[in-house]
Amino acid sequence: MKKYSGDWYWYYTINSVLVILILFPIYWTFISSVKKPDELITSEPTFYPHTWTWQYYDNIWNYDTAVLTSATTATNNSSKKIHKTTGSVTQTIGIDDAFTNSAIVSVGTIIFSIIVSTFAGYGLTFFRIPFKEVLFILLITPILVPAISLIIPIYKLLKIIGLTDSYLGLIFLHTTAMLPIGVFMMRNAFSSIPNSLREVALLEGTSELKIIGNVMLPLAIPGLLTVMVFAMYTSWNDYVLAFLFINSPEKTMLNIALAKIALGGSQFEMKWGSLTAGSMISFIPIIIFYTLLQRYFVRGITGSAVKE
Amino acid sequence: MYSVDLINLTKKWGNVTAVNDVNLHIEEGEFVVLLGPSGCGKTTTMRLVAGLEEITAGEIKIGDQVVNEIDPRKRDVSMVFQNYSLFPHMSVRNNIAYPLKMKKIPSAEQEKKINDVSKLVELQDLLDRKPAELSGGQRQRVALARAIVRQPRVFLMDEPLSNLDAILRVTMRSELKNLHHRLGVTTIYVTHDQVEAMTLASRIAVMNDGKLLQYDTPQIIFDEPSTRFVAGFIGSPAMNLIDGEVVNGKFISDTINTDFSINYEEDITLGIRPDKIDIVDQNSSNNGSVKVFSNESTGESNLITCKMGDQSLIIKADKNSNYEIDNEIFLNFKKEDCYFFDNQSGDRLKL
Amino acid sequence: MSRLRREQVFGLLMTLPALLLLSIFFLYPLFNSFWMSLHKWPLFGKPKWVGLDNYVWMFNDERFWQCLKFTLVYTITVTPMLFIVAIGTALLCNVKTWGTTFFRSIYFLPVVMSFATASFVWLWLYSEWYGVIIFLLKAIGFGPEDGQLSVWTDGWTAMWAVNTMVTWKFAGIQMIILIAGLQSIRDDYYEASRLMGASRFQTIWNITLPLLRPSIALALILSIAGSIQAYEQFQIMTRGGPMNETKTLVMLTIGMGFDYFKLGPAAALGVIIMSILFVITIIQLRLFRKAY
Repeated sequence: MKKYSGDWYWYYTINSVLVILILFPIYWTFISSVKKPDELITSEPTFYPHTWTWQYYDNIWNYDTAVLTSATTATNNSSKKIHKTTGSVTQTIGIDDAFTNSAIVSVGTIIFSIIVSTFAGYGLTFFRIPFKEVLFILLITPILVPAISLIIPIYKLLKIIGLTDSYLGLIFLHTTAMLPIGVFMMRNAFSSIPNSLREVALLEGTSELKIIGNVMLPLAIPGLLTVMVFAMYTSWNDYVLAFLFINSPEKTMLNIALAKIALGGSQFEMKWGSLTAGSMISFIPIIIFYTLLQRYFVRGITGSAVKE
Repeated sequence: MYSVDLINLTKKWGNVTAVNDVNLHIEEGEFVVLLGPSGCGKTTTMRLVAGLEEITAGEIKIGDQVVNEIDPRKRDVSMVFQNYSLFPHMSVRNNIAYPLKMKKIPSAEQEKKINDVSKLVELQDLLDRKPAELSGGQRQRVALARAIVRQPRVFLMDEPLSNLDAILRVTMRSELKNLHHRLGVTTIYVTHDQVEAMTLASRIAVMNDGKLLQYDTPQIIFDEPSTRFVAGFIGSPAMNLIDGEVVNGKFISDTINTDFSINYEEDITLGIRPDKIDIVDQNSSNNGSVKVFSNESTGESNLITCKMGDQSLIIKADKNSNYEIDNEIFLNFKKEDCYFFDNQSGDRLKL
Repeated sequence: MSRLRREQVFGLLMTLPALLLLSIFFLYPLFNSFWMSLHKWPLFGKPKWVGLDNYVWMFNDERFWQCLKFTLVYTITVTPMLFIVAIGTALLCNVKTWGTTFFRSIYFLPVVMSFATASFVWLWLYSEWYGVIIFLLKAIGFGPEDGQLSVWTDGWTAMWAVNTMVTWKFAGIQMIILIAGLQSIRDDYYEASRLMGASRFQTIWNITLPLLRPSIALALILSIAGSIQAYEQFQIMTRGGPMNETKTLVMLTIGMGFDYFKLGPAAALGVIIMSILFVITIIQLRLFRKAY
């Protein structure tokens, strides 16, 4: 890396300005989600919340969003009991359920991705499979084909196997999207472990499965964490697939539910408060992943950028 | 041509002193070698002259100009790096042209300079190749050409020959010597190889532990080393250095004793070059006997290693001699061939 | 069974789940998309073979060209923006000093947010009446004092508004790729360049950037591929408006397939998008093959 000599001021000034610019939208979203309606809906925005309320979080978490995009501005004590009005014209869902839905699919994707990638990476590394290289390349190919080109046939496919509008269908799709990164990462992780470790264990009579569990996985943890991080990223942030292949209101994913808030109604305070609160809610899990596991994000990206 | 002055030059990294109060004056056109073992501060000193490191204390002057605060790119100093640092994505021609391009010299003039320089180092046929396609020796010549083409005030060379094989090294040494004669640019050359230093330098600056130990012509450094360290570093095979004490005016040690008297009280080290010790028969010997540990033939002589206790002695014997291992041999040497060093300070004593 | 055979079978079994998923949810749809694009799929009744009719129909449709044009314009405008920010922050963060890691994590932060969430965030920032960006723009002097100032009424400004959001969100990934590339450049190249009289800018131009070509290529491929497939940002922020001026190819495809149920043409559009991407990637790989 280059060593700077004497330009400390420039360096810290430019970086500080950039940090403020980059963080500002997130900061703004957060304070907007806690300002009282009067302070929020105004043509003279305040840069620091003078009032504070958790009402938006409360509203969207528990209430039906149909209520939230209506014109009522008073706190809806009477509508506390309204949940999932399936009989109503607008088919919507509370954010708590949407959150759970996304969580289910994300966790499912993480688990499936880890299992599938680990086995595939392991097999491709330690076994003399016929056409090994060809299979590996095949597993990487999805990265070259845009998802949009496949949604029509996938729709038909899901219909045939009866997985339309299901968590499992979405999980399968997300896992397939994860294959290139997952298999690539795990194969790399395993190929950096000397084969001799496995051979010694085999000589001692350990079964292959036990070897994987006791010897290989612990050594491959960075790879696993990278797969986990990317699986979460792919699944939690997905929009197109969640939008097209989940139809029932009660199974709606978080991103889609929030989009309904964003696109529905008009410029009323509840909508913006709800939207910013919802954005924060949707952002928090992934930011937790990021804070704890940041280096695995970087690893995943540079792993494909730098040939190992 | 420009002189170079290092005045009280010091460089510290936190608590570690890499260059310790070095004072050096280099005449215009001189070829000065900074010689010393790894970590002695010679490379750091050179990088301070280049401006690639910042000075902690002291001054560097090129000609009459104090260059401490001047950015490397303006110092008009060029450097040949140990691993050549040739830009891999540029052809040889463009590598050489680079410094000229940075100075915005017109292309016609660039062409001419490049051609002159490539003739000088015999690179004319390789101008359009890329560094990856060249051999080690060829790359070295490109690095040289690139350093020369700009006609800087000072050349800096950081162990340029260390990555070449032994035979090529010898060839390049004479090429460098000739080149310096032709160009006459003040040069500072860093190496740990004392043969390079002896053959190339007009003056050698021997360094150890960040300090400058001796700064003299090669012959003087060879004949009159000022410290024990310098004595042991120069010469191949190295000078024998034997710890001992003075008892009754005579030097006593595990290996050899002197029959001549020494006027000194403290413990001293006696130094004597391997070729100055004669192996004689028992009767003519007056300096002790030792046991043969090994003997190696170099083709032009026999090197006999002898061990007594912790000390060992190397004697250069005639190539036809035949001293068997574990044999006892008897030695003779003259006082005027001996060097004496104080054990504490390492300084040379004239006794 | 011989050992080799057992090993092969076992290995294949381990790879089977991945291969199954790949075949069912990727390979089969991939081939099927070509197949489907050559048929008409009426809501009731059997699919009908129409050969290249869907494609012809597509190429004659004004909307296709409009969306294609917009998608390309968007790609061409957002890519340099992304790249400049990415290379700037990469150079800034390639410094060995306190705070670099911290700054880098901040610049990467927007990347982990979903495109949807990022769209929501910026939708609020750009809100015609209450958005803070609008407020600041008015303070500088744009637009009517008391009236509505909207970036969404003109297709061009709408696109640039979205470009800004995308740059904010996506530059971090490119930055990481470029930093990885920068770190692979030997220090002594910089030193040599400096000694030979190059200013910092000259060093960057003549040494750093050429040696960075593979990383630049990767970053560009990533960003161009992503831009061609743009969906959420426009669907959420502009809905394709005003008047379909900011409608992307993907939006058209989804609309065609899932709103109008014209599966054949939608599949054909999918194939077209895939081909465009393929061609662009090949061109880029050609241009940036190797740094040296």
